[in-house]
Amino acid sequence: MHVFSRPLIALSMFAGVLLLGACDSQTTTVATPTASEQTEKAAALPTGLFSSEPLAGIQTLLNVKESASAGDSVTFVANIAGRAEPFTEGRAIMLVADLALQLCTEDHCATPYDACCEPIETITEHTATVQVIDKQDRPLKIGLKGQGSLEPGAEVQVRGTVHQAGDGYFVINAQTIHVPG
Amino acid sequence: MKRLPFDYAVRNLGRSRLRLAATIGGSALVVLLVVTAAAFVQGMRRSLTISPDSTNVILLASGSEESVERSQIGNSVPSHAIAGISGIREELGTQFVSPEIHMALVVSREAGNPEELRTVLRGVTPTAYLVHPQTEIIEGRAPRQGHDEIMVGQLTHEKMGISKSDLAIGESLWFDDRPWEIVGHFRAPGTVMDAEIWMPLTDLQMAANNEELSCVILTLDTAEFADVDAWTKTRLDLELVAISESEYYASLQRFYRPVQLMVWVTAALMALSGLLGGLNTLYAAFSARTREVGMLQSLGFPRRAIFLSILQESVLAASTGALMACVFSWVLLDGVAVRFSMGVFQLSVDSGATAAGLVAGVLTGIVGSIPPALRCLRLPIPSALKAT
Repeated sequence: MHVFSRPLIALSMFAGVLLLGACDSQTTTVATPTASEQTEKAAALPTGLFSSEPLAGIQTLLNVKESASAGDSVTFVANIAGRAEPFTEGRAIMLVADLALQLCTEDHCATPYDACCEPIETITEHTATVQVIDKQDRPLKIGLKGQGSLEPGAEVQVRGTVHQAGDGYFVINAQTIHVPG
Repeated sequence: MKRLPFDYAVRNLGRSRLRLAATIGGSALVVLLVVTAAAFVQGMRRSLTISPDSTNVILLASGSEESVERSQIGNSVPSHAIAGISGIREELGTQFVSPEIHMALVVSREAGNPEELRTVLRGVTPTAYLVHPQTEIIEGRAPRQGHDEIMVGQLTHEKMGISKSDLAIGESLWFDDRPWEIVGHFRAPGTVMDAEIWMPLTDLQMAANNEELSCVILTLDTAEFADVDAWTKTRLDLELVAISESEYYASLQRFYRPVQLMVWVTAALMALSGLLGGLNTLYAAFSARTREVGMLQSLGFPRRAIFLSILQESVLAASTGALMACVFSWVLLDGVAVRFSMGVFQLSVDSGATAAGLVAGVLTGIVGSIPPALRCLRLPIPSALKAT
């Protein structure tokens, strides 16, 4: 019996060693933001970007896209729509779509503002990019989502200058944004 | 507390070799199932995980975020991306921008052969080796453009369900009504690419009669993901979305989570049946020793000491089974290829799976010993001594 017990004891001790050895010794470190990252995060939207008053002289986005060219001042109304994620995290950019673009009304659709029921060409035709830029003409390093009641699907009035107008793309530098209550 | 010596528990194990074998076998079965389930889930997770250091971003067609194979974008996207996004990684004047086609196709080993071998083909340019540094040519060479040549991954034969020799260098696969010679083998361990066929981009475009791309993969240097995302939102004419490679694979993992859950549930149910079988064996083993337990109590050993001895006995047997199952799984299961819709992954019996198995084995020993031990110890000493 003693002879029989020793291998079993050895096996169980080996099992114990394996159990201990199987534990991963890797540790997780949490990165702390650097000073420059914190400075970037502190980038703020210009004061007066959001207006509580409705904007005057509003056109539809489609009208603006048809008639305006780079450098023109424009004022239009649109929905924040055109993609499943119309905002860019960490950049002051959002997509807007003309009110005529049919948003997806299927019950099961979690993101009706992506207009997934429409052909992509129709979506492209009805959408434009709105950005808030810095002095170097680059989008501010701050996301617009949640700022001044900007949410996917929300209707917005935008006043700004056409930055780029090309075949299929239309970018507006926003100066004033109003979100109807 | 007066304790029974450890040797007593050990010697008791040898009283019935058959019962010992049944206990060890039951425990081994439970552990084997747990290790297999853990190895399956871990293997699948690994194949759908990209290095957390990955700075790759995938440009896909808007609306095709869930599947690269469904995506179709213009041939001009790579040049637009290079011109429009600053901060893409560059070495020796070459930007890390890889235009690719991902296509699921049916191929055969011979002309006119009715067999249907499903595989995933990836049309690439030389920059693919820059953005996928985990890819390594292990035999032969990369296929040349315009020569009907292809290169196969080290697990492609598993995905196709054929032998490895069928995809040896010099062999051919038929599609688009002509043979494509295998000129190289590559590997990309732990990724879905390991089971793909790679060929020159333009060759695949011509074979598939498709001038468009599936995606463009680019590696960032000073640029951030937000810069690429912002660029796709200003170039609406290109109809693109940007998704980080790690997020893309994380979404695939979320898609396969129900499968992983089902594997765990199945393993748990089977392990439970193994545990109940082991419990039954232990019940039988300890029921026959009611008189012995009564005798030990009359000799002055408290119930706790006897319970501890029974626990030692059970844990020892279960641990032995667990250890055997772990060794068995290391030898026979680790690296076994499993086919799934994305390609092939290998069972991964790593430290986590082994630890899960060993813990399951010890728990089996503990849980399995408690009910029969309580049953034995419940009887008063006179009744226990009279038990037959």
